Amino acid sequence: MHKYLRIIVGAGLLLCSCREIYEPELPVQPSILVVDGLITNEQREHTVNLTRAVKFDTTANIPETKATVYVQDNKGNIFYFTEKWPGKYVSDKTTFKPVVGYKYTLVIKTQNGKFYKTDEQELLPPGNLSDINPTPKKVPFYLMVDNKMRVLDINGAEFSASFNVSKSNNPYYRFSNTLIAEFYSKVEDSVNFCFRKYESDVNFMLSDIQVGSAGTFQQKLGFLPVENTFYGITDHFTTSPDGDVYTLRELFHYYITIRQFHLNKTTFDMYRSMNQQLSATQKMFDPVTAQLKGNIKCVTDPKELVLGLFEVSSVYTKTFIIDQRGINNVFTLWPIRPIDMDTIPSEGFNYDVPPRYWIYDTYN
Amino acid sequence: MCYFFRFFVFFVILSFNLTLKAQIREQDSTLYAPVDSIITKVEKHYQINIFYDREWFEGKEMLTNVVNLPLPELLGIISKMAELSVLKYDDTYYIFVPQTAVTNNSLADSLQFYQVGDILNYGSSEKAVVRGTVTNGISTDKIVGARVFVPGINKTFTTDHNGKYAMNIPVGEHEIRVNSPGFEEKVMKLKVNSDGNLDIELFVKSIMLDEVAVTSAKVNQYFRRTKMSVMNLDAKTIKQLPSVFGETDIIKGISLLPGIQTTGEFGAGFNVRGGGTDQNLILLEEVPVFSTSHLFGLISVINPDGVADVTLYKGGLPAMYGERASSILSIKMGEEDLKRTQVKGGIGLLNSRVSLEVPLKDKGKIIVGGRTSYSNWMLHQIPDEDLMNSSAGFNDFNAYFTYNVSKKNTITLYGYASNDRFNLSGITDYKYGNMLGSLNLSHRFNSKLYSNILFGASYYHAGMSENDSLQPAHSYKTQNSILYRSLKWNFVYKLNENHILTFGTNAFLYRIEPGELKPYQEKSLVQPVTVQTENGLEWAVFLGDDYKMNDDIGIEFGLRYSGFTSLGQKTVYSYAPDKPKTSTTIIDSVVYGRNKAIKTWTGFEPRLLFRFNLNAASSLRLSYNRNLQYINLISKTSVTAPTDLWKLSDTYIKPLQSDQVALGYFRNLKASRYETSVELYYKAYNNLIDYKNDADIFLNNHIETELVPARGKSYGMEVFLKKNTGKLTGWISYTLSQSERRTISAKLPEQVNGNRWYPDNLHRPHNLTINGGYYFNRRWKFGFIFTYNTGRPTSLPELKYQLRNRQIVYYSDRNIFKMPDYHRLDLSISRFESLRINKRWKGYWTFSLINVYARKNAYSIYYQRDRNPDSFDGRSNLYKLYIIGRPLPTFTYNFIF
Repeated sequence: MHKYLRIIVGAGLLLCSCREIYEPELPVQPSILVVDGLITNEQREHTVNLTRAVKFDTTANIPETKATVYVQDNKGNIFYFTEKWPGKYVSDKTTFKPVVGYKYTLVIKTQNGKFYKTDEQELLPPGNLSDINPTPKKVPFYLMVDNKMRVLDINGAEFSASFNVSKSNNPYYRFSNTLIAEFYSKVEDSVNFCFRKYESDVNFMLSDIQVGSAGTFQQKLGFLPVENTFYGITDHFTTSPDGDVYTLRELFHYYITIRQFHLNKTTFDMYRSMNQQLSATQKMFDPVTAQLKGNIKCVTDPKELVLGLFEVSSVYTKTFIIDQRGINNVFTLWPIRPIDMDTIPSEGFNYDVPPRYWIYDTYN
Repeated sequence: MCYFFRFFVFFVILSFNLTLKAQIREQDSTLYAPVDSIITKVEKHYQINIFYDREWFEGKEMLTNVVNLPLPELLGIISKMAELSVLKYDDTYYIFVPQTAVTNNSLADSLQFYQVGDILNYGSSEKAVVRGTVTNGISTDKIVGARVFVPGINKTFTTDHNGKYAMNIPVGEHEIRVNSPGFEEKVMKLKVNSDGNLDIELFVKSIMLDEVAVTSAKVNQYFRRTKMSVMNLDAKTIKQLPSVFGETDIIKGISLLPGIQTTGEFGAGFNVRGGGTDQNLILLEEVPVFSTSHLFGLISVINPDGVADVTLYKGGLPAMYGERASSILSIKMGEEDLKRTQVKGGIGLLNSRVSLEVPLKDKGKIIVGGRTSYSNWMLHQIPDEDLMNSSAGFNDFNAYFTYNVSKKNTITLYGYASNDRFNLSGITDYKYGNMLGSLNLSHRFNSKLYSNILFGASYYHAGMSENDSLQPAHSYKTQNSILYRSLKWNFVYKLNENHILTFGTNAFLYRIEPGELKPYQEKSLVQPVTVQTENGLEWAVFLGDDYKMNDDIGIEFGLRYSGFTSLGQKTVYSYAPDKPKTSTTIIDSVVYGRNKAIKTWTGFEPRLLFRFNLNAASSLRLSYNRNLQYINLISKTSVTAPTDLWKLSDTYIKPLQSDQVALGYFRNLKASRYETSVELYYKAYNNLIDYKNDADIFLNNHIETELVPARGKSYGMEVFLKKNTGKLTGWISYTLSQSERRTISAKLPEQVNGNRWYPDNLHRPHNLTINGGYYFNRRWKFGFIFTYNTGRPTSLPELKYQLRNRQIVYYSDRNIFKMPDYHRLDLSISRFESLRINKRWKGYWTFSLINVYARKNAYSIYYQRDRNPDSFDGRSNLYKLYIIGRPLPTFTYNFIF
């Protein structure tokens, strides 16, 4: 009887739901313009990326080149963007610093003579991010170890921030977090200054404040790994074929930058919709996914579909160095001058002298 | 070779035997005819309908000239050929049933009246001695210990070791009840004139014979009914259907009927003729149950034990029913004739059930039942970390009590409670459950006027919590609920046999707590959020008139006038009229006090049903009905989820209105062994709720800003063929249908697909079900179900692009693609044990194989970045999610004692 029971149980286990790749025939779509623009209250190069959407099952990326791009404010000022790389248009950081309270409109004229325009958006005042709290946690990650993909539990911290909201404020925030791991590696007598950047989540972190509520809010900012293994900083010696001896992880430091963007409602809703799509697993009771149409319109042909987002938001930035020398892996954060980590590449190194992005020697 | 030779010899002998029989038959062909054809001639000759099982007369013939005999004599001859009894329902309907199935008083009244003693001696003495022997009617064995009960004098006499009895009772008329363990009780009427003999035969009752008798009765009922778009499944039919995990499931069984669909293996509820799951009013003893499934849709909340009758109205609704736009599913408990205390139950892989049924001296009964699951062990075996740390389970309990207080008054009480719990990874916890009850008082004023007062209440609650020990600051819990209270006072007035009036009034009170977010514990920093409570009062008055003009023409007219008032306490926002409704276009708000009327909606709901019998076996039906619905389920999921919210009509949400016209042709074939029907329907919806593309409905105090009004239409053809009797029984149903909707807002952000008609989520043009059972013999039954549906409409990603360093996809217009078609074959084999009633314990095993040919039916199509560690390159793919991708065996044991 026991044997039969095992057979039945084993058969019952086959119920596990599964998935397989599905490849339907998709119709050919016309060329759709995608606008990816962001201007903030910062004095920096603001960027508008123009591309063309591609068919879902293809991999090509088509930049929209030779377009005329400018931002116009409600005072009649116009700020032109120049094409720095194919499809990437940047503002002049010396002349264009958006002003809180002004309203901005993006205007684009493409090579084929079509005009595109957004509605006016007001640059709202920046938020007031106060405390950042790290809570130690272990999270499993897929990592390449010895040329094999393995699941490893990585130490790190779940970060949260607190900020105050008054009832009349009605704020819509999004947050970003970025972690930089810096470390030295020595090759014989020379020193490599290495860095790696990590952003925690594929989703956009949006505040979940309800309209009309007031008080101090705690905002989840996502998990950031704070462990050498995760960034490939291994503590070992090795010898290259030509006899050089490498010593890795002589020294390492971790920094995080938290940015708080104050958005208007339309932009906030757009991010929320993107999140719905990005986080959807489409499993048992997930919401049905919806179209994201963006906030840009074609003036020449109002029926033309335009995708993407032009965002006007103010930003408040805080940067900390993570001190992980505490007991039981308790992290302590020490504030330092804000660092714009958007300008730092995802990883890199430099021989003998620290690279331009090197933080430790510059700020400590 | 040896086997081949034996087969050859057998074949030759068989052929010879058949040839010989054929020659003999040829000679007698003019004198004899099969009983079946004789019955057909009798039906024509006497203009009557006779219902029976052909198998009873297989291979039996009789003289053709018997047709000329008087009808009672003729029926008597035929019935004796197969040891049958004849039941006469009126002048035109006769039913053959096994003698052992004829047991109740009314039948005894009409069929069995015995004279004891010499009538000339009647009155010569006050008492007389009646003697006799009680024997087994088939084996003629004497029955020892049989009891002969005479209710009139409240005395019981018992047979001795020779099966003999003797009773000294007053002369005159008596009813006696004779029974013995393992035999069918026999009820007889005696006229005792003087001392005399009365031998009595009792018959062993088998399960199978009982079912055949029930089937015969149903055939008659089906043919005679005046309704259309109404499906009735007796509990025994449903219990024979295989289902996932071996649990008999009434809701899943309903979905095998024409015009009914479900979303597949998972997801609660069902859809009727293009209507959403919230458009079905599912009544348990006349009180609605708001969530119909356990384990997220795997199992229905209705315990099949104790269910006596299930009726589904897809259209042509009587005026006494309203509240929902698409259908009424009425589930009645405990109407089976209960003769003794019995325990029923079942043991399955995931859950077990048990119920106790107790008769109350012919005046009523009590039924108490419950189910509980033990599904955790299976989850813990699945090699998935999340599921290994998860748990899922449910339990439910139901109690039913009915009692005839007097000849004119009956009281019925019913209660039901269920609880579901699902914990994912020890962090996320779902809990939901139903609780409902009813008190029904029936009163008969006289032979023409009846009334029924029903007090009912139903409460549904659902909650979710998240409590990660590593994240106490973010732990939270949410809760929503709906409380429904009802008062129905209905009357039936029988003007005459052909003219019946129904009238009455209903009132329903709703209280909905749409949602509440709270910190889960002290360390939690989550800010509490509460969405405004909704209150509302729905009421209706109705009048129905069922008029039979003559034998062939009948009309049923009904008018229902209903209304709904949204009640305070509530804050109602006003929006800029020229802008889409959003939280930023609010221009004013009004606070309404407790129970203050906010908005009232009223409307007429006319009903009409026309019946025309074309001949004795076929008829036409035409119906029209308008229904108003004042409550909607708010859900953005592709299938109904237990945490979906209910929403009452209010200032911005108008009542949903459906208008349906249906035309049906019904024909019974081969003396009602086959039922066929074709129904055409067209249904139009006004004020459907649709959702903006990026609607956020979670804990939203301005839910109207996320909803947009829409119109809908659904039309189709339903074909149904059912075989009622014989070794092979079952049905084929096919539905060809179209369901579409379109938004009607002039404001662009409130438009879906540019206000063009688009396929509804329920649009599945082709739907085929073949359901059958084959009895090899009395012990073994083979069952099968094949279902085919066109794939559900869906939206698919057409384009992709980069935005903020993320890959975003652009989905097509809503529902312009369709999923792969759905089809599945399920098989089952059942073995019935202990067929004889003298074995008190009866049981049967059922082994089912779900999804025999391992079809991977799509539950959903979704887009996801490829997180497969072997190809960790961030590629995106479309995936088909399926629930049961392999043959799934299930096993259950059901018992009764």
